Amino acid sequence: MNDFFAALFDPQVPFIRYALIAGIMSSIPFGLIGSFVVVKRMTYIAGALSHAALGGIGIALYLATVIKLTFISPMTGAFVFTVFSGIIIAITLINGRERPDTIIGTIWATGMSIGLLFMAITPGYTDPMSYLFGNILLISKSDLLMIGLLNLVIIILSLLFFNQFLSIAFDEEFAKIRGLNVAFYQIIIIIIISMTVLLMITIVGIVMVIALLTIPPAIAGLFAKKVKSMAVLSVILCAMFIIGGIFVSYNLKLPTGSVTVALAGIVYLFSFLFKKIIKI
Amino acid sequence: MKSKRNKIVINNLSFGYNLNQPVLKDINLQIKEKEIVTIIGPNGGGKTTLLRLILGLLKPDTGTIFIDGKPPRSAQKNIGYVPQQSSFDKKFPITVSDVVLSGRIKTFGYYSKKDKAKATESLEEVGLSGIETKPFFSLSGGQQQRVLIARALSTDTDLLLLDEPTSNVDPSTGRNMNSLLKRLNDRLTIVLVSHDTGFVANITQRVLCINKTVVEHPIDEQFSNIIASSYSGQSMIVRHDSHLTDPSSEKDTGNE
Repeated sequence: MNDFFAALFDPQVPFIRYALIAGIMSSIPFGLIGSFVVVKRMTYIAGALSHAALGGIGIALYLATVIKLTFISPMTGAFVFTVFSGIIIAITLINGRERPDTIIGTIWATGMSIGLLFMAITPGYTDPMSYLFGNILLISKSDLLMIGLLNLVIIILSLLFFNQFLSIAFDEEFAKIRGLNVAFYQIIIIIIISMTVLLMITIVGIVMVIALLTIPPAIAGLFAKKVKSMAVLSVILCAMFIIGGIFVSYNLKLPTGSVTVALAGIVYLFSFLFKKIIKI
Repeated sequence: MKSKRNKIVINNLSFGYNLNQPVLKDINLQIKEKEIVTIIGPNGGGKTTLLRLILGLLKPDTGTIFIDGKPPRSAQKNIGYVPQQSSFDKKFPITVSDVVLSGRIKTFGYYSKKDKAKATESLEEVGLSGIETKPFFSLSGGQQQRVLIARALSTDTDLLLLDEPTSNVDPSTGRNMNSLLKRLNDRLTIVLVSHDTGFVANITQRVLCINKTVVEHPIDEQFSNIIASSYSGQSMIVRHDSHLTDPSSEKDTGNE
C-alpha cells in the first residue's frame, strides 16, 4: 500500500499522477453527461457510439501508416467517426421512421468490423485489445492536454444548455411547442455524448464505456430528487471509482479499467440493496 | 353577452397518416374566446390527432386551422398545452418547480427572476404552493395534472388545451379539477379532450364528438338537472341527437 503512495510522489513515475489527474478531471463530464444518458434512456446509443469508435481508430491507423497522413491520430479518427455515427443515430431518431434499436445495433457492430478490417490491412501489428479495454496508465502529458480541452468543451456546452436539455428530456413535445428546435439540441447532445465517450475510451476502453457512463448516475438516481443533484453525486462517485480503481489495480497488479468497473458494479449492487432495505 | 371573437377556426380540415385512410375528414368548427369546449369520441376516432393538428405538430392534408387568425406553427407558442399525465417516464428525477419552469423555456439562457416569479404564481393559481421542491413523480395523479396545468399557465397563455385531464384520477380529484377549470375559464379559452363525459359535461359549454367527422351535441339542461340531483351534481347529460359514424365504414353520416 505504501508502494502506491511512494509511486504517486515519485518523480520517476509520472504515469500514476497523470492517470489520477485525467480520471478526476474527466469525472465531471462523465457524471454530468452520464446522468442525461441515464434519464433519457440513451445507454445503448452511448454503447453504439463507443464501439463504433473502433472504426475510426482503424481508419486513422491505416491512413497514418499506409497513406502517411501521420497527423491523423487514432483519437482524431475515433472522434470523427463517433460524431458521424452519432449524427446518423440522431437523424434516424428525429425522423422516427426506422426502429431505433436496429440502427443502434447496426452502427455498433459495423463500426467495430470496419475498425478490425482496417487494422488487418494496416502493416505491422496493432493490438485492438488496448483500445477495447483501454489503459489509463498509458496517458501521456500531451493526452492530458487533449483530455483537459475536451473536458472544458463538454462542461461549457452542457452547463450552457442544461435547462434546454432537461426540458427536452422530460417532455420533448412540449419543448417543441415552446419553440425549441428539438432536432438541433438532439444533435448537440449526441455530439457531447460522442466527446464524452471518446474521453472514456482513453480511460476505461471501448467495452467498458457504458458501465462508467451509467453506473454512477444509476447509483445517484437511487437517492437524487433531480437531475442536477444526480449529476453532482455521479461526478463524486465516478471520481471515487476511478481513484479506487487505480489504487486497487496498482496494489493487486490487475488491469485498471476492469477493476474500476467492477468496483462501480459492486457499489451499485450494495446501494440498490441498501435502498430496498431502508424502504421496508 | 357581447358576441365573442373566434379563438380557433377550422375549415374543411382533412388529415390521414396514410393517403387512403383519412383519420379526420371535412372538419369545420369554431371555438370562441373564453368558451369551454370538450372534444369527446371513441378511441381511434381522431381526438388526439385533432389536438396535435391544432398544436401544429401535424400538418393538415387539406383545409386550414387558425388560432387567433394565425396558423398553428406560429400560434403554438401561445397555446398552453397540458398533455396526459400518464404519458410520462415515472423514473425521471425532476422537481415540481423545474416542471413548471419548463413552461418558460427559451432557446438559450437560464431562467430569469421573472420566470421564477411566474412559475410561483402559476403554482399558486392551481392551489399547489409550497410543494416546489418535491419530486414531480412523488405526487398523486391529480396533483401531477395540476402541476402540468401550472406549467401551461406559466407560458402566459390564454388558451388551454388539455388531453384527458381526468384519466387516472379519482372522483374527488376530478371534482377539484372541475372547479379549477371553471375558475380558469374566467380568463382562458379551454379545450378538453376526454372520454370521461360525466366529468366533462358538468363544466363544459359545448361538446364536440369527433369520429372522423365532427358532430356537435347540445347539452340538455333540463335532463341534466334531474341527473345532477341523483349524482350529487356530478354529471350533465349529453344528448346524442345524431349517431356517430362507424370508424370502419367510409360513409359519412351524422353530419347535418
